[in-house]
Amino acid sequence: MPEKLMPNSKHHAIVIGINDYPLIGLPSLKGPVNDANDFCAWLRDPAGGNLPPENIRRVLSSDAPSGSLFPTPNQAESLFERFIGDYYDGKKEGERLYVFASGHGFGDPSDISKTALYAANARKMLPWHVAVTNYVEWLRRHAVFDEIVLIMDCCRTVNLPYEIREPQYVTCQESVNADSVRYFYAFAARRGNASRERTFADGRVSGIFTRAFIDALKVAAPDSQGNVTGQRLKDHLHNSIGSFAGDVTVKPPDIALDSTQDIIFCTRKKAGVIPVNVSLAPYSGGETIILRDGNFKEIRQVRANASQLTLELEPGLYKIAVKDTGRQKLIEVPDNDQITV
Amino acid sequence: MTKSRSKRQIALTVRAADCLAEVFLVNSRFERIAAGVGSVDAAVTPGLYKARFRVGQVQTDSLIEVGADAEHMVFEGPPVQFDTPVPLPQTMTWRQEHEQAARKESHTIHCRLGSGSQLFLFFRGLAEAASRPWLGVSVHDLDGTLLAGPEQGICDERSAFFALNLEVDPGCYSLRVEEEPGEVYEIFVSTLSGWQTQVFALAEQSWLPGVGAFRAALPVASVLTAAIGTGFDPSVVSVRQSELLRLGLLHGRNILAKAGLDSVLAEQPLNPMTAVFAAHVLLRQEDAALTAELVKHVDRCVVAAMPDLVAALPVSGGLPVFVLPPMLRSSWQRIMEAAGKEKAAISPGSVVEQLKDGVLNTPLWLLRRR
Repeated sequence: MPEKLMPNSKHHAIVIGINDYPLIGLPSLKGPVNDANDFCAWLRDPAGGNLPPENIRRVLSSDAPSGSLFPTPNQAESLFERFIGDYYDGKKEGERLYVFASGHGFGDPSDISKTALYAANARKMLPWHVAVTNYVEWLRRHAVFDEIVLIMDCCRTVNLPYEIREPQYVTCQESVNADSVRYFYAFAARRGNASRERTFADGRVSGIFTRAFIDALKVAAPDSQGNVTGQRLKDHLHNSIGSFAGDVTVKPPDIALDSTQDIIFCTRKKAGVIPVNVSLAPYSGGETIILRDGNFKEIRQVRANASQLTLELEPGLYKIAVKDTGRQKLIEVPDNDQITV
Repeated sequence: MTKSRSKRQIALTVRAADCLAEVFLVNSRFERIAAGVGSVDAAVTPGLYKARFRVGQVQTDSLIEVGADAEHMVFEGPPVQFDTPVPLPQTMTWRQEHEQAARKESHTIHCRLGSGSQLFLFFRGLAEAASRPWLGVSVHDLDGTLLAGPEQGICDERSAFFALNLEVDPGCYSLRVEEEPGEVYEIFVSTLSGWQTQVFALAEQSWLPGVGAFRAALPVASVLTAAIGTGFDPSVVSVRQSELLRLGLLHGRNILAKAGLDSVLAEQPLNPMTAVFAAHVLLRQEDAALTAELVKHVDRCVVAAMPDLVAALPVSGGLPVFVLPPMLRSSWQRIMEAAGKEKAAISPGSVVEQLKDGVLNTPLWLLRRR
C-alpha cells in the first residue's frame, strides 16, 4: 500500500472562480469555475498540494443562483480578511498560501505589477473588482506566510479609465521580513494581454493556462533531488503551453520567482509520462522504431505491429528514427503529441 | 582520484533572423542554458536543443541537433512572424495591398499646410468590421485648430485603409481619434526638417471598455521616420529595426545589446525614430555605456527638435526647457521627474504645462483624453 502522507496543515489556499458578469457587458466564461474546481482537486490530492479540506477557502460564482451577481468584491475579499486580521493579532498563519483566481481580469494602467479580477457585479461605470495582487503583496510584505503561490488565469488587458483600488487594510510601516518570503507568481498573460479558454478533448471548458499549469504540477520533471521546484514548473510551462492551446494562439505566460529561494511544490522520482501517437508513413509492416533521448542515448526500440503506435514519454526532446531507413524526426514532448515519421 | 574526462564540447551559435530578436537556448530537459539578443553562443555537448526566438510577445521555436562531428555549429533561426501596424513583409499582419498603398501614398502630398517636413498617416484594418479605419481621425495643431481629416486623404473601404500625407512645418501635431461621440483621445507626433514622420495604426475594437466600434488603435500605433523623398520602403533596414525596438519598448523587453546597437548605428544618418526608440530601450535597461555610444551618433539638431531625445539622453549645457510635448509616455515621466527636481524646466503657458491634466498611463505613447 502506498504510504499515506500527513496533510500539509500549515498550507492554506484561497480559490476564486467567476464565470458570469451580467452587468459590465463582458461575455460569460465557462472555464473559471472548472479551473477553480480542478485546482482545488490538486490542492486536496495527497500526491499534489495535500491540503486538508478545511484549509481551502473558495468562492465560486456557481455557489449562488445564476444572475445573483455573486461574488461581489466584499464576498471574495473576505477570504483574505482572516489572514490580515490574524497578522494584526500577532498570529503566524502558516508556511504556504496558495491564491488562485480565474475569471475576467484587468491590469492597472499605471502599475504593471497590479492585476485584479472583475467582481460579478462589475459595471461599465463602476468596475468593481478584487485587487488580488494587492492582497497578495500585502501578505508578502508583512511576511504572514513563508511562501506565497499566486496563480491568475485572467486577462491583464489595460482599460485606461480603470484603476485598481487599494483595499482598505492598514499598511504597517515597520520593517518586516518580506525579502525572506519565497514566492511564485504565475499569470496566464503578460500585462496588456488576454488569457484564453477553450473546450478540451474531454468536453470540458478550461482556461488554457490553468490546464497547462495543473498538468505541469503533475508531470514536470523534478530536479536531481527529486524536487519539483518553481523553476522546474516555469521551464516546463514555457515549453508545454503551446500543446494545450489547440487552434488558439496563446502568448507566453508571465511567471516570476526568485530562483535563489525557490518553492518546492512536490517531490517525485521522475517526470510524469505523456502519450505520443506515432504514425508510420509509409508503413510496410514490422518496422522498428528507435528512440533516442536528448543526449542521443538509445532509450527504446519498438517493433511496430501497426502503422500507428503510442509511446509514453517524459517531457523533453527526442530523436525518433525508423531503423534501416533514412526516416527520422526530432520531437518535443509534450508539444508534438501527434507525429508522423 | 581523477575526474573522468568530460564529454566533448561543441561551440554552438544560434542566430536570430532579426538582430533585435531575443534568443533563448534550452537543453532537452527544458533548462535554459543561454539567452541573448540577436544570437547566442554556448559550449554544449552533442545532443538535442531547442532555440526560441522572440519578438515582443510572439515566439517561434526550432529544434536543433548538435552532432559530435563538428567543432562549431551555426544555426540560423527563422524570422518571427510578429504583428505590427506597419505593413512589413514577414509579419503576421502583412497585406500586400496595404504595403503597395503605403508605398504609393507616402510619395503623394495630399494636403500642403506648410513646408519642410511631412506627416504621413496610414491606418488599416484586417477584419471586415475594421474596413473604415479613418473613422474619428483628425489632425490638429497644438492650439487645437483642425488641420485635416479623412476627407483630405484616401479612404479605401474595399482594401480597408486610410492614407493621408500632409506637408507641414517642422513641429509637433496632435493626432486625434474619437472613440465614441465625445470621447476623443490624442497622441503627439513630432515632424522634423527633411523627414517624413509616418504613423501606422490598425483599426481595432476600441480599447475603451464597452465600446464596440472599430477605431485606429493609437495606444499601440507605430511611428517611423523616413527621409523626405524615400517614402515608405519596408526594405530599408531601419524600418524593421524601429519596429522591433518599438515592440521591445511596448512589452518591456531588454533587447539592445552591443551588437544590436552597432547594427542600429550602421545606418547614417541615424534615423530619428530609431534613435528615439533605442534611447528609451537603453534608458529602461539603465545602460549608460551604450547610451553614451548612441549619443555620439545622434545629430544634435535632431536631438534639439525632439523632446523624446532631450528627455532620454544626457544633455550637456544648460537646463533643458520643454515647450513641445514628447511622443512617448516614458519621456513624459522623465520630464515630470526632472521638473520636480528642478533639473528641467517646463515653459510657462506651453502645451506641456497644460498637459499635466488628462494624461493617461499607457505603456508606450503619451495619450491624452481631450
